[in-house]
Order: sequence, then structure tokens, then C-alpha cells
Amino acid sequence: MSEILKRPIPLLITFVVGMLMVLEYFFTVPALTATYDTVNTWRVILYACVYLGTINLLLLHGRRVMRRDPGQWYYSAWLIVMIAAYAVLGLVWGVDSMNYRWMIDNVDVPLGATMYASLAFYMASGAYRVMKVRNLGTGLLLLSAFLVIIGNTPLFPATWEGFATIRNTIFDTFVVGSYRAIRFGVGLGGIALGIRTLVGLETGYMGRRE
Amino acid sequence: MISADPGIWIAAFFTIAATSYVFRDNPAFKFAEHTFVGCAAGYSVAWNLTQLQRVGLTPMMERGIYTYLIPIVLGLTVYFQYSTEYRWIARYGVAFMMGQGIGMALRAKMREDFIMQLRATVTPLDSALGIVIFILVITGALHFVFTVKRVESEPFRTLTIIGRYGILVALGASFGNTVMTRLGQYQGRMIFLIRDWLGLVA
Amino acid sequence: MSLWDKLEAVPNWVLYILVLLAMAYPIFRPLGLPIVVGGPSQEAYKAVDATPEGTYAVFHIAYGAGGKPTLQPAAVAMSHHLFEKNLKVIYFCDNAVDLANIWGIFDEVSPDTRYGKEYGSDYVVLSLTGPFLTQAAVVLSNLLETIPTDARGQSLKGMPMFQGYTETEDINIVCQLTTSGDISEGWVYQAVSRYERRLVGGWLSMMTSSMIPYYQAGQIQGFIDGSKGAADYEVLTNKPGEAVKITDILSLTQVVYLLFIIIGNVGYFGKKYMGGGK
Repeated sequence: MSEILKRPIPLLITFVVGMLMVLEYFFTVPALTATYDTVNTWRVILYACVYLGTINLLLLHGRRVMRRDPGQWYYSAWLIVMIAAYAVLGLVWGVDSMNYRWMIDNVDVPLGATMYASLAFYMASGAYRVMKVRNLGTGLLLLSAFLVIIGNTPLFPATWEGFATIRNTIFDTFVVGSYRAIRFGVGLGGIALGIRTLVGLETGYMGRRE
Repeated sequence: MISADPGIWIAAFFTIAATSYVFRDNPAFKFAEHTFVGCAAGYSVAWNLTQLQRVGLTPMMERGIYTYLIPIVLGLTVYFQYSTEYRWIARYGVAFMMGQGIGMALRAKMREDFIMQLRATVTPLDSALGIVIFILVITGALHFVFTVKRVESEPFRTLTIIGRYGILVALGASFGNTVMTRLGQYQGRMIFLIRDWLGLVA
Repeated sequence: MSLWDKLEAVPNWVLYILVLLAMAYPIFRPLGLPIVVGGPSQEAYKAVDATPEGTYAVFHIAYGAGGKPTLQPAAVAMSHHLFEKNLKVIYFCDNAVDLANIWGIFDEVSPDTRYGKEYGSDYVVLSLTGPFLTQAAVVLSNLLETIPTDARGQSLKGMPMFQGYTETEDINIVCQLTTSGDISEGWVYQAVSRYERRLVGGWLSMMTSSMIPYYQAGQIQGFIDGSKGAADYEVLTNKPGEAVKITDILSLTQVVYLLFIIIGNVGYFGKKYMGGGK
């Protein structure tokens, strides 16, 4: 009995719930739609109960603080303080409050925006060091990048609209055609993996066998 | 005139600290990095607990929808991952999440990523643009066929080479757009530092 | 070291300083270049413009902190347009940063004072959590049952906007601004495929390559292509703002990038064909 509880029943749950989602797309049956809506609501509630990421962060950084890892433990302590501050203040003030918004706008937004935007500098050194015409393929890649950057820069289309037309033509032909081919592959791969998971052929998400 | 708003000074400090990493790793960046991770984890906890209360607990109490206990229990089973002996109990919550997620992701893919895309490839064959797209889609797809040996010999080999060059042109275009994205993002920070913090322009 | 070696070995910090200077200079001396409005932005504008008055528009804000510099101006411009068209706008987001972004949009757009709109009657802000496809399904088909309150904790069923609301049929258009590929694809799967609503996309320019097949196939009505698309939308709605400024400034920085590519290749070819060495 316990062996059935450990693997077969969870696999059955995956199959039943997954098939419900798929069938609702193809068949308009009121009972099916009502069940689908209920499952979606349950999914939202379930999502709100899972804090594994935060717990893992606390465990990792907590261990560093306990061990007093040199050169690191005080940063980890600060991280734990920030988690606690944002969590507690968010619950006490409310995540929609002006005070919380102030914290988000002046700490999280500049940090998040700058962390992502800093890649601009790495792209600059990449453009300088890596974008070289070594063969026909890289030559085409570079030419295409060049023409698109020129088309995107308002300075050039302002002098001659043809630059914008060239850029748009590259997108309307090469980008559409090639990325569509990629999308076919990704789509078919996704469908195959999804079906394999639903029927129980892919069980990596279940973890190690006992 | 330089800003007197403490919030803007805090934002400016974090902007400069986060940028400093491109020159060299340093304590200011490490501090900024740990602050960022801590903020993100902290507000996600506050957010999700608020949603749990609004979407789950309050309706359960006020409207008597006690079936909401099922997803709450399933959510709690996930924490059995930390137990060596009862780790298998976590599979129930994970199985529900996986089934619902995969079902949702799978159902529209065939129509949107395959049938509609195929239709858009073959229908406009009366224009030069349509013909070029058709050729690039076929040759691009052939380029990714690794399981059929026939594709490695002529005439398919020429088609795969055409496909490869088409993909390289597309990737170059993508790089061009990525340059604009990253520059535009950092531009926003520069405007903040020069205008909002230092007050050097109106 | 030969000239070609020197051209190939410019230190990174020099490149970074040049990029910073190229970004800073146009802030002091704007170039004032005209914006050439692109096709997808025009189609996005037309799609919103064609939406009948009084119908509902779902506006998903999902760009977080990373996309705020480029997509917040687009959100402001689009919000102006949605309120001018007298649509009932359902804003929604799934994290605290995007909620702060939405309040920031209202600070700039001032729907109450500028357009005479009332919160709860003409627009509302929802907060959700969960995987995105589930959120989209909830908003489009089971909103009032699953989400009892708005982002401020006020009951939705008590709001004038939702009196007589009949879920999916009342929603005429879905607008989204996001930095996530999963979300932009997810709206195609849900809004277009399952619920057959019109969809206007908005994302970072680097995502355009992967999403343009959907636009060309007619699954997406139009889209806002990063800061360029945001500038286009500001021009189309006649409300130039941050995006027009950023696009102006981008001219010099992109020219600097082009110069880096040229110098790198000149050094490479010079060394290859004219010799060089230490």
C-alpha cells in the first residue's frame, strides 16, 4: 500500500489534472469548465503557500552567518535582515501602502534596473572583441547586426529613411523565417515533453526513487 | 540643484554600487547585490502571504469554501522535501503543480506554435516576402534535423547551409536589438543620476 | 606592440568610460531627432483605437525593475490612450515592484483629474499570484470568483465597474508590457487561442525576434518594441515623454557601439593581412 502512495498515485494526479486542463481547451462542457476554474483557483492558493526559494536562501546564508565565513558572513547577515524587513513591513504596512512603495522605488527598482542594464557595458566589450568577420557566417551576422543598429539609431533614418526600411525588411524576412523555424522545433519539443510527463515517462520532478 | 530627497540619494547610491561591478568586484557591489536578493525574497513573501489571505483564507472563512483547505494542505506537503524519511509526501503537491502547469502549457501549443505558424508560412506565397519567409522556414527547420542521415547529403545539405546563414542573419538582427535594449535600460539610470539626483539638467 | 595590436587591445575600462560619456553628453545637449514611427507600433495604436467605448481592456504590467526605464513610458502612453478611449481598464500585476510601477503610471497619467475617471468605476488594479498561464485564465474567465478584492483589499463585487460584468465576453482587448518571454507567449496561448481576445504586445526590443512570428501570423495585433516602440507610441498619442528622450540619447551611444565594432575589425584585419606582432 505504501508503495502505491509514494509514486503511482502522484503520477496519476499529474495525469488527471493535466488532462483536465487539456480537455477544457477542446471541449465546452459546463462541468468541465467549472472544475477547470476550481483547479486554477486552487493553483493560485497553492502557489501562495510555497516559499521554498526563500527558505533555501535563509538556510544557505544562515549557515554562513553561524560559521562566520570570513569575508562573507556580514553580507549574509544583511541579506537575512533585508528579507525580514521587507517581509514584516510588507505584512504590517500592506504591500499596497505608500511606505512600502517608497522602499520598492528607492531600493529595489534602482538595483534591479541597474543590474540588468549593466549588461550594456559587457555588450560593448563583446562588440569590440568578439564581433569580427572571421568567415562568411560571422560576416553575415555582423552585417545584419550593423544594419539593424543603424536602423534603430534615430540619427540614420532621420537622414535617409531607407535605413529604417532595410532594418524592417531584415525583420520581416530573415527574423520571421528563421525564428519561426526555431519556434516549430521548440513547440514540437515542448509538446513531446509535456505528453511524456503527463503519461509518466518523464518523472524527474518526482525526485530520487527510494 | 542636487536633490535633498533621501530616497533619491539611496537610489543613487545603489545605482552607482551596482554599476561599479563592471569595473571591478568590490564591497559596495556585494552589499548592493545582497540587498537586492534580500529585498526580492522579502517582498515575495509579503506578497504571497497577502494573496493567500485574500484569495484563500478570507473567502474560506467568510464564504465557507472549505475545499480551499485542499490546496493549502498540498502546498504544505511540499515542505516534506526537507525530511529524509517522508520526502515522498512532497510529491503530492509537486504532482498537482506539474499536472496543472504542463496541461496549461501544452494545450494551446499545437495550435499557436505549429498550426497557425504553418498557415502563416504557406498562405502568403503570392509575394516575394512570402516566398522568402517560406524558404527560410523550411531551410531553417532542416538545419535542426539531426536524426535523419539523408539530410547530410545533397541536395539537403545545401538547403541546411542556406538555413544556417538565414539563422545567423536573424541572430545578428537580434543582437542589434539587444544592444538597443541594454543601452535604453542604462540610459534611464543615467537620466536619473544626472537629472533627478545631481540636478544638472532640468 | 604594432598599431593593429593596439587597436585590438583597448582595455575594457576605456570602453566603459566611452559608453558612459556617450550616454551622458546627449542628456546635456539633446539632439532633437525626429522619430520615424514603426509599423508594429502603429498597428498597436490602431488596435487600441478601434476598441469600442465602454468595453473592458485588461492591461498587464509585468516589467518589474529591469524593464521600467524602457517600458514604463510605454505604459504611460498606452494608459493615456486607454483613458481617452473611455475604456474600462483592468490593470493587473503579480509582484510588489509592478504594483509600485502601476501607482507610478497613475502619478503621471492622473486619470482622476485629467480624464475625470473614478477608481472602481472606470479602472481598477488587481494583484495576483501564481504561474502566469493560471493568472491569465483567472483574469479572463473567472475573475470575480477567484479574486474577491483589488490590490488595496477592496471588494470587487461592490465596485460599479463590475456590476453586470460577464467575464470573458466583456473584455475586448488585452494589452501587456513585459520583460518575460513566457508571459508574452502565454498571452498568445490564453487570450488569443483559448479566449479569442485581441492582443497588443509590448516587450523589450531583444524579445522582438522571438515574438515577431506571432505578429506576422496575425496572432498579435501590434506591439511596442522596447524604448523605440514606446517613443513611437508617445508620438502617436501626442504625449512625448521619457521614451522620446531616451531614443534621442540612444543615437550617440549606438554610434559608439558601431565604432567599437569597426575598430575591432580594423585591428583584426590589419593584423591578419598587414602583419603585426609585438
